[in-house]
Amino acid sequence: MFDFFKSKKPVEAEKIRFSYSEKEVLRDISLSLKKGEIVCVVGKSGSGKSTFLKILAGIISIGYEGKIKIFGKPKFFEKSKVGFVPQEISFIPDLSIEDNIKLIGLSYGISEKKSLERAEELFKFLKIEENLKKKPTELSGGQKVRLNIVLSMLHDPSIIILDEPFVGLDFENRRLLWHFLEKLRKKEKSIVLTSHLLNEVQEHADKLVILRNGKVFFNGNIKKLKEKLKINFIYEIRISKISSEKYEKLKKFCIYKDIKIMDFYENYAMFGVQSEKEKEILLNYLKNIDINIGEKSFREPNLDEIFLSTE
Amino acid sequence: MKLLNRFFGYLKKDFYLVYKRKKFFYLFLGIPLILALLFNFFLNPVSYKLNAGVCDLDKSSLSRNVLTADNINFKILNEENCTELLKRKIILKEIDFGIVIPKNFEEEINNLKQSHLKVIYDNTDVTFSNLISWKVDAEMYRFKRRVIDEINKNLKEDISVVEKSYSVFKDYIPSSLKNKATDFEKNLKNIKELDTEFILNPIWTSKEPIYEEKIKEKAGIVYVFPIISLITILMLSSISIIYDRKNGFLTRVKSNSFGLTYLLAKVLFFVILVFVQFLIVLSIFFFNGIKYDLSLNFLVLVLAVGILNCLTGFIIGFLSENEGIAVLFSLIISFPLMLISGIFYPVQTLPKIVQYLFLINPLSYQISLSKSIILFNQLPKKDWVYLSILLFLISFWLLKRDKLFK
Repeated sequence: MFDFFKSKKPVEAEKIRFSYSEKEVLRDISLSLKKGEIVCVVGKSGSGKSTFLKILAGIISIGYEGKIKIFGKPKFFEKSKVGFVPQEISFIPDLSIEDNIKLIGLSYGISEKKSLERAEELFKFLKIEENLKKKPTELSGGQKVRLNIVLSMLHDPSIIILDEPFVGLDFENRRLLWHFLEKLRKKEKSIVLTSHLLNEVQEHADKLVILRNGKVFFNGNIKKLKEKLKINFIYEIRISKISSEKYEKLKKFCIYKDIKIMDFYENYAMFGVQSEKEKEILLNYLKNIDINIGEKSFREPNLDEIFLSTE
Repeated sequence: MKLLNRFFGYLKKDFYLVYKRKKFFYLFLGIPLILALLFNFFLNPVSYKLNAGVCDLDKSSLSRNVLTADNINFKILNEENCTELLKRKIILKEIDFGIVIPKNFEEEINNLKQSHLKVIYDNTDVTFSNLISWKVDAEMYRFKRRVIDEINKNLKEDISVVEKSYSVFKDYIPSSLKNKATDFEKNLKNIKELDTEFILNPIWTSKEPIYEEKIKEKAGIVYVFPIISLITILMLSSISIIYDRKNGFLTRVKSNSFGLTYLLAKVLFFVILVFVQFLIVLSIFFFNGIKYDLSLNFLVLVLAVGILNCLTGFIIGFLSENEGIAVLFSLIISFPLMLISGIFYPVQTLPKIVQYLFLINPLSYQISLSKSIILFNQLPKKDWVYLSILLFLISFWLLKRDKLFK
């Protein structure tokens, strides 16, 4: 009985499974989202992240297993609390921006007047200063992406799901969009997004969900990820070209010492190590097997590098 | 309120698009207009006057008499190799067909011998040659009647002369030949009373239709309306689904609602389109002098035809990846349906197995629906309601499982 009074989580997805024909795309994916939280779902192309977002947003509504609750209720009853920003820019190209706002607003169940007011507010945030009588096809690439977001948020959703929102945006537009997402976070909106720009995600996301082969490989913050992967530092070196025999020896050594070879190409190598001591051990081994070492760099890894190590 | 907003939002969007996308607008208005006009001419071929070239090799008063038909324009050619010239002119479409009147045409008829008129036509144009055959037969019947009437008159005049001569020596016939004389008199009387129609057509077959002949005029719309609706609505409704999918509108619908209001609004939109199409077709027939007793049952027809066709179109749209495939799909479906619907060819001549297809052909079903409502003002069985529900459920299921082809 008292369960009703508990504060409900905006999103709770439990053991989501989904297959396209016979290929299993998602296997037991679970995710929960708090108010004002930004969660980024990352993974290689084809890892199932877009499919997972489409299930969360209700685009795929049949054929999956598992439960999705929005504010404690089955998703079906709370669909209007979710705003989905599709990867493909979505508007009606034959109508003006104003008509798009009015009609898409109506399709969300809100009046034309309210939609226009809401759009004006969002335009200010996202710095769109275009004549509403124009057709959306006349906008620049960055403006189209921003309009796509505005159209998805006319009904003021509490949960915003964005599928690759930064694709094709320059640094300026990306920064603008991150600021916008930060503003939404302050308004206690919950945000789930997918992105390949891991260095930017690292700065803004509260939580990372890494999908690998349709499964959750990691779910938590970046600090936890570093601990899990045992990569606290990156050791980059220039080396002389080595024989395949020596490379095999080095590989075996690294596996034995739990050191990750993150990249190895001709005379360049990148290793993931846990401590300075581990770096010294590696260095000594390289010298022992007569590998000439040139330039060196020892630093903390960025998210791209951490992600690389999950492969 | 939210649901109502949504419903009208979807409906408004489609009407806005019809208005803004001029090509769509013209297509939607133009197709029924053009097709109804064309069908109107097809159904009233009487008004068309055929152009015939004539090689009159007899040049007699009787051969000139052949060339007085009401519905044929005759052009007499006097060149040498006239028959070859006629063939060339038919191929070049300068004339519709040719007539060759042979030498001694009048003489042979006067000698009570069969004469011969040759009609030259293009046998690769099946439907047109049928029309020519029909019109030539109709016109020739009148000519033949005039000729036979003339022969009959002459014959009767000759018989009167024979009768007069006979009456002179009738009283001198010996009594032993009295019986034969009576037979002779009887035969003379019979020949004198011989009816032209009897010589022309000794056994007359009369056809008695179940309904008044006037009903035939009204029957045109029975076929025209379902055909126009099938072709246009199948294409427009399937393309409309693909348009919504392509520009992401369907994604927004699916992310925000259950999808039921979207489908219902779309069905209503297309039923309104079908209603407008029905009015266009009805007006064209009306201006052609055909009057219908309008009743509310006509709305049931619009509803049934609209719902069945648009839902079939939605299913095509959900199953097609792009507009091209949807249009192809619609055409592939509509043409065989038209062929086996009994409009162009009698279904009875088809093999039994194909006749079964006729029974499940949605177009033949819509035509019979249209026939019972328009001609007899009778409401049909509720089969169309059950069929609509089934098609709606299939469309809804496809909407839910649509992978958006992206």
